[in-house]
Amino acid sequence: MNLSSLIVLLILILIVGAVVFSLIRKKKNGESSCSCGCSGCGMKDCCHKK
Amino acid sequence: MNIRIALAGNPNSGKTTLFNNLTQSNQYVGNWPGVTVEKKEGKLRKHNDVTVVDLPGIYSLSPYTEEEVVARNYLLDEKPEVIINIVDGTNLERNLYLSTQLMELGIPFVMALNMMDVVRKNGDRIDTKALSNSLGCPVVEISALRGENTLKVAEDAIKEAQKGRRTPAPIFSSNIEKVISYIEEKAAFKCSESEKRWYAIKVFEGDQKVLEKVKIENYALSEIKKEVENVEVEMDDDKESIITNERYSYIERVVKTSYKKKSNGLTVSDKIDTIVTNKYLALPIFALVMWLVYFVSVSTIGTIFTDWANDGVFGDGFYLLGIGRSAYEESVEEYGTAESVVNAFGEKLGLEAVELDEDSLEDILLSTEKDGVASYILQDEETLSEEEIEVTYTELVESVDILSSYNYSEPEPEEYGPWVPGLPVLIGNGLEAIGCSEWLMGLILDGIVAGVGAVLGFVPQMFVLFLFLAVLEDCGYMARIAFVMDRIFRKFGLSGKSFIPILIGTGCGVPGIMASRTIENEKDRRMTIITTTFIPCGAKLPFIAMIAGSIFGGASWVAPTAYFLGMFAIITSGIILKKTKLFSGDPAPFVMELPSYHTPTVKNVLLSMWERGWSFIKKAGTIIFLSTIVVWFTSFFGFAADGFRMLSEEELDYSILGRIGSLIAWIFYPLGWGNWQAAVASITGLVAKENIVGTLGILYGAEGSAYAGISAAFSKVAGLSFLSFNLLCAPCFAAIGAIKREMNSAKWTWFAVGYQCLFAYLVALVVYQFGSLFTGNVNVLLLFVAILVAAYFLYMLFKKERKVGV
Repeated sequence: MNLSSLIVLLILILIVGAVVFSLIRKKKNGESSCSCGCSGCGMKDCCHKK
Repeated sequence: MNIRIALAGNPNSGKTTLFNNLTQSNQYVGNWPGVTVEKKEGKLRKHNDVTVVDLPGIYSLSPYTEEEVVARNYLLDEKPEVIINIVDGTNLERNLYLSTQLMELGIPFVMALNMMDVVRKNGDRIDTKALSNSLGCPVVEISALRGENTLKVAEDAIKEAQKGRRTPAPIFSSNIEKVISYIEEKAAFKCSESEKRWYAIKVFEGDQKVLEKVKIENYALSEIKKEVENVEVEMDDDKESIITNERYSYIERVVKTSYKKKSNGLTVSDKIDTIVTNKYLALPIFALVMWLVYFVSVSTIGTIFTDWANDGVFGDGFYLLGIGRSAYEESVEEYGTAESVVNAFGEKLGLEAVELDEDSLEDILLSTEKDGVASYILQDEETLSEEEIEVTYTELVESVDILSSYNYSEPEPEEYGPWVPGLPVLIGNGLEAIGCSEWLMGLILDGIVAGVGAVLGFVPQMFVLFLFLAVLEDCGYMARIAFVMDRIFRKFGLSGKSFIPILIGTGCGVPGIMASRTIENEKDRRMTIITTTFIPCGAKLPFIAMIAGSIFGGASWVAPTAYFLGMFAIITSGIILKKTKLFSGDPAPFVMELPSYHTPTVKNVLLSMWERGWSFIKKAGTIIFLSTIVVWFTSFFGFAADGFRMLSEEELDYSILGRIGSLIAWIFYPLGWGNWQAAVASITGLVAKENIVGTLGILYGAEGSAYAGISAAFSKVAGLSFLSFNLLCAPCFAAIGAIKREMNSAKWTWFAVGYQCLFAYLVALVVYQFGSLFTGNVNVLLLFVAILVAAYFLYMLFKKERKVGV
């Protein structure tokens, strides 16, 4: 693998890491991964008690 | 001083709108009752020490519904410093019923008279001063929607809280007052003086929850009961009705001095309702409205933008403002036709491939007789339909001239106008320029860009759909649908209350499932949870649009059919489940106030559309992004004859995903789409429904156009069956999680998922096998099974309902 491919791969790994991290953080905060968007949801306070 | 202001009022009186205005929040405001199930908190603008609490809408402080329990517990246990009671001025008498109870709590109290603009428009008159005098509390006219006087009412509430002034409780007739005083004395409540009256009235009513809480000595309780029974005999009424009547007598006295109704004529809302909720017209109007919503979203306005996104941004590229597009398309068509003509004559001459240069074309011209004809096959790029075109020597001459005028090379888009290359082109060129490895380019272009792009391409259609849904919600039409559906549901033993979660579920199934907690009847609640996700949520829209575009040539009936299939599944499932032991019983009562129609506010509508649409974009950048990487790796790597390696586009059948898909594809064979690609797309759809589109985009897009690949893999009937199955089967994991939370039982969760999958499978089976009758591709055994399924379905639908002993 050449250097440029390695750099692209590293960038991709970083993006994947950031996405996984954000998903884990969301989960820890009790946020649902549903598609409604919390602030636009009438049930927001059912997910986020605090 | 830290002050908590509780906003309390009837459902749909404008509490959340006022809350948003006071706290500058963007809480979801729905123009139907029951939007707020849990309380919400926020800081009052310009007052950091003041917290505003938005309570669910309630009609009374009796503990009959979840919302009433949430509101009552907050007011009694948390004891806010002041209550702002939001009263809908257009329904003054009924709204005051709750006010009489709030005034008894002994908490400082301010009344916000909302919707006064509508009151004035109707020609009615409310004398705020007289109302304030009669009630003994400040009354402020507000318009929560326009933000008029909202801060004033909050400031008045702060003043009341600082004063700690208790609003006088409504006075009942002397014999009732006597018993209330007796209860206060006898029960020896361990609460503040100001709360005693409220507890005494609740004890009079025999409120079980209050009786458990206050723990009155047995002897005192029996004395109290005796007194109450005496009043019941004396007044020939039950204790709860006695108090209700007393409250209404008080309200009558208050209203007499402060409210003047212009006439008893119909308001504009009433007039609209005579048509919209008409016994015969309601359903056709609803069907027409929803058909229009899905038709416009998927087939017209939405398509224009989605085509641009799919073919332009996530395709080859696009012309800025469309300048030069038509000239380029004409040239491409002209060049393509000329090339086909030359190839047709070249093939006739026995040439394997025609070199497009001056010498080769000259040779073809010289070798062809002047009366010679040839033919070529014209294939539609999207539908793959084929047509044979016959061409003559004259056309060959013209074609050679055309190719020569283009200098024997395809027209370049940049030469016709301001051309913006698509993302795959830009990324591809960039990666090629730096010499990126082939597999990494494949992962980025054929995996991530193709998969995520396939989903994002449908975002414009989603935005249009959400815009329409927001308008329908905000203007008050959706609330009518619940009312209309209740009339139909009730005939089959179902409650219209089940329809509110379904309405919410059109955006996303998760809040839809959560909204089912407003249904008190456990059996009805479970049934609603099971059936809510049958309605196509926003995430299913890209899938519906993809199937409509690829298999049905963009037919306008596909998207509305998907919506009505969901409705059909909900109604029939409801009828069938109600006839089983697990769900039988009388429908829960459904009391719903129809809100007045009003012109939707641009801010509300755009905010609602943006919130929902943006979360889809975010989801494409997270869950869908990760899924496409997994799908690409597992579909482009596998065990070929020479061991484990990266596979070419023609070898995907040997991939890990291909092998796994082949293991389960037979399950779907009776449904008409027993190929591994469709099987794995259905499975990846469990992560998020948009994944079906992402997966199909990767698997079928590998060899060129995903639409062409899908169109070749599915017949129209199989496409309809594939659509039916994926619309009705188990929802995404997030929704399954919500089902588990709301059911609070693993057994019931499995039952729900099992029922949804089985129902989807049987519907798809019937669709495909019956549809095959028309295409002539009949499998007798499977057709027989489908007939049996349909017969059992009809039997359950029309079978008499099991009566439950009372």
